[in-house]
Amino acid sequence: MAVDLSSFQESFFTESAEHVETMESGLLELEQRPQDLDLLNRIFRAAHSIKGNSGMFNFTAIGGLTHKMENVLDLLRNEKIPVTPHVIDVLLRALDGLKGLLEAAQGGSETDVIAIQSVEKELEACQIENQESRENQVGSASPQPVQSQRKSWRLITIDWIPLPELFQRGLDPGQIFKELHEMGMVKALQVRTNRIPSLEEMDPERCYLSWAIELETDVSVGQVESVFEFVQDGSELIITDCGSQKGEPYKRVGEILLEEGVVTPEQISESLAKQKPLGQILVEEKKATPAQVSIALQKQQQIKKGESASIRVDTEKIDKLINLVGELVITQSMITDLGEKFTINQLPVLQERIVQLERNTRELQERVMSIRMMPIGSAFHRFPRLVRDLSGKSGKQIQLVMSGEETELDKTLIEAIGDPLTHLVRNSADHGLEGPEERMANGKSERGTIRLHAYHDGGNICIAVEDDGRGLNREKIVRKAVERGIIADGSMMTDEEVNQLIFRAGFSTAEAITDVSGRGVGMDVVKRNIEGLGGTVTIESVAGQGSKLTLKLPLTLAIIDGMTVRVGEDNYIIPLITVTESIRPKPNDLQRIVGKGEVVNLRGEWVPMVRLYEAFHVNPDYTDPVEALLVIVEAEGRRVALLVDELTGQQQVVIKTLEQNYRKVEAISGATILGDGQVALILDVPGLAKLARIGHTTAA
Amino acid sequence: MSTATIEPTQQQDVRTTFSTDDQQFLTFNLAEEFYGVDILKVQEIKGYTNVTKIPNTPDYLKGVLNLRGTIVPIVDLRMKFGMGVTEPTPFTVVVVVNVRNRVMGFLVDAVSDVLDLNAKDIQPPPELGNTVDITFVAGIGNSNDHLVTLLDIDRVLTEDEVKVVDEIPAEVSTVEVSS
Repeated sequence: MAVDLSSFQESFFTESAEHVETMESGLLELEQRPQDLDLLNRIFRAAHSIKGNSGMFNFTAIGGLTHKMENVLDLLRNEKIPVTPHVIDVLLRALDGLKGLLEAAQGGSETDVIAIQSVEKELEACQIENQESRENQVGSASPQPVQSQRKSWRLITIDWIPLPELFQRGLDPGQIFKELHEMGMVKALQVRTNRIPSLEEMDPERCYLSWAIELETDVSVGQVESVFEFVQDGSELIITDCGSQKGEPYKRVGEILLEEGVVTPEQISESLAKQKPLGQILVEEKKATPAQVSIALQKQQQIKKGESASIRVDTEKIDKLINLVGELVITQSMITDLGEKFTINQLPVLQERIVQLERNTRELQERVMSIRMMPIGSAFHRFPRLVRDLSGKSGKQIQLVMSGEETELDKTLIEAIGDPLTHLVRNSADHGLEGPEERMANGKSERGTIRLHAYHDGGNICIAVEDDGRGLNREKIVRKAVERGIIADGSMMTDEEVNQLIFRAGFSTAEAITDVSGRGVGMDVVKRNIEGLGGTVTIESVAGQGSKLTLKLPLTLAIIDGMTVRVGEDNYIIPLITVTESIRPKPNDLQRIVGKGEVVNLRGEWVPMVRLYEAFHVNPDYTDPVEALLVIVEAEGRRVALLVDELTGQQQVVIKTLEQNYRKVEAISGATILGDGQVALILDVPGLAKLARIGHTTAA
Repeated sequence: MSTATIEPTQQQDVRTTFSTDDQQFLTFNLAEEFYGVDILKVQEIKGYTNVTKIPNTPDYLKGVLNLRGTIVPIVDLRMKFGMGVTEPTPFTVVVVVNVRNRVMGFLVDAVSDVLDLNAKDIQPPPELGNTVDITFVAGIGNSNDHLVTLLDIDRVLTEDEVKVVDEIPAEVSTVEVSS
């Protein structure tokens, strides 16, 4: 029975993911700066760590692949082979393979063994190239196979059943494993627990465990034996030298068939490509509906997400927190002290201490929230690679400029914006930017630029994806929208409204559907995802000069800035991000449009008005808008005026869900607890706008 | 002795059939009538404070309450049973129950007692024909000199939720298909 390594495995996977990221960004940088030895060393170290750690968990495939990558990196480092785009390409593909293997080891999907084998071959080819080129230069002896570097490495198996009195003699098996580890790579370490007696018979001071160890090393059996010198007495120890023979590893059917020459790699890849996901088969055989499958997939995704729900926190942040908690405790004891012998003339002191308590609490809250904050750079990491691949595929020259990577954002948000951002970058590369000829013809530089820029804007974070391509084509969008029956006629629409059309489901103006984008299933999903996070998407576009999409997101999901408003006896919170202004209308600003409800004139623009007391069926102080207040809110690019009695203030509110114990309520996005312990509802502005529209159409 | 130790698990399995010998009920008053709920469902009893109304919800949903940081919906049981609105008195309390992992409260006129009932003292709900909805009545118990209506609180409080939970997957699926 092996030791339960799962908790260590988890950290192995997180660490490996970080190393893979380092390698990926490093390789991309290396292509720009081939001479940077520091960079190379960094990549090498990352590869080396993965290799070493994978050995510990017996992930031989991962170890094997990284080992081969390491060899190539070593040659690069020693300047035995030059840094060429080809080498980088191969290494990047190997890295993809590695990602796949890691995922598979984590219990994910099957890996494409053939692809990994072919990339391993390519890695070897890189090395052999080196051998050949050196041979040509120096004309030296016969080419040596790569493995020769490691010729003296052997696999040694150790079977050790120690004396039960091991601990009583003051010996520590851990020390022995440490020494073995220093001798080479411990490929497998198995603990046998079969000698453990039942609990009544167990003596905690005796050692009942025994071990089987596989060690890959270049030292002799004798040296290995010497490690066990002190513990050998009375214990059973069998050390076997398996030489370079590693025995037949587990093979997949494809590999065996390949070796026996029955099939070619291409045939296997082809057949593998035919393998369909289970969900698809079930749908085809009518055993499940697409909806059921997609729900199941969603659940699976959630489970997968749950697995990696750990966070790395700077020790500095933790230290500061501990200090703050210390301060809080002191303040609290000061107040308690004061409360015990309180007289009314001490009131100023009490007030002062309460202010201090408030300050402590607020600071503590901010610090705790900041634990969840991560630099957005981690979401940007994938883009250099993505853009490089896209540029290779489409033949466009694309330059990616990123800025503001250090901007901090809530961890869940970072995870959630990854896909929408990828989509936007792909869109820019595929639709936005033109090919080199077209760019030259339009007097632009050959190379197109995509800019990713993150910055803080009040309590929000903005991420802009900007390209200097052709921009949105108004006519084309309008034509398409008319074709699809989305609109009747575009001549009355503003540019902004036209641009918003691209967020409709199933809308794509791309003439050719590439494998990158153009199926029109993207922008609507992007918009929905971002709005689901409480954010907005805006487009600015100048024909011929490029377009800019800006995602505006709240810094965190749990706390928002809210404006408290009162209607009759009830308080409601309006998310501050949606509020643009509040006005008291003049009588002649109001207009009732038959069948469409009421509108208010806002500096020449007619904005629909929603009477909150009507929507929520409560008794207001005022029913006449002229006496009450209108809060202008903006959602999904539309403005709505909400009629309220009074603005009561502005405060940060902690969002609580109603769904946990009740259910979703129309036009309410959640609830919060006010200072006096009362519950206040948070308005769902887009939902409210929708409710108002529906109300009006039914009224008509 | 041995029956006492296995009681809780059995109750979980057959909550409405009362197959175990003894069961405890929290009894309360509602417009002069006595009602009882399985005491294992009750989380706590809380004095009545002002609730926050939720717009566009059924009348019997009084609103929500802050219970140590959790938002708890409060059902007016009188309204739910068609006995008119509960007028808060000093005795009015909220019985907080845990139903299918949801915390909910219901408003009653007063709590009275904890009642030990033997299975043989519990009668099945009476047959009243189709005109009266008694799905949430689990049985009728007899205590001293009066009858106690035993409620199946799961059914009382989750009727709406069941409907809503059924609706949500349909919404998700249409979203997924279109994407």
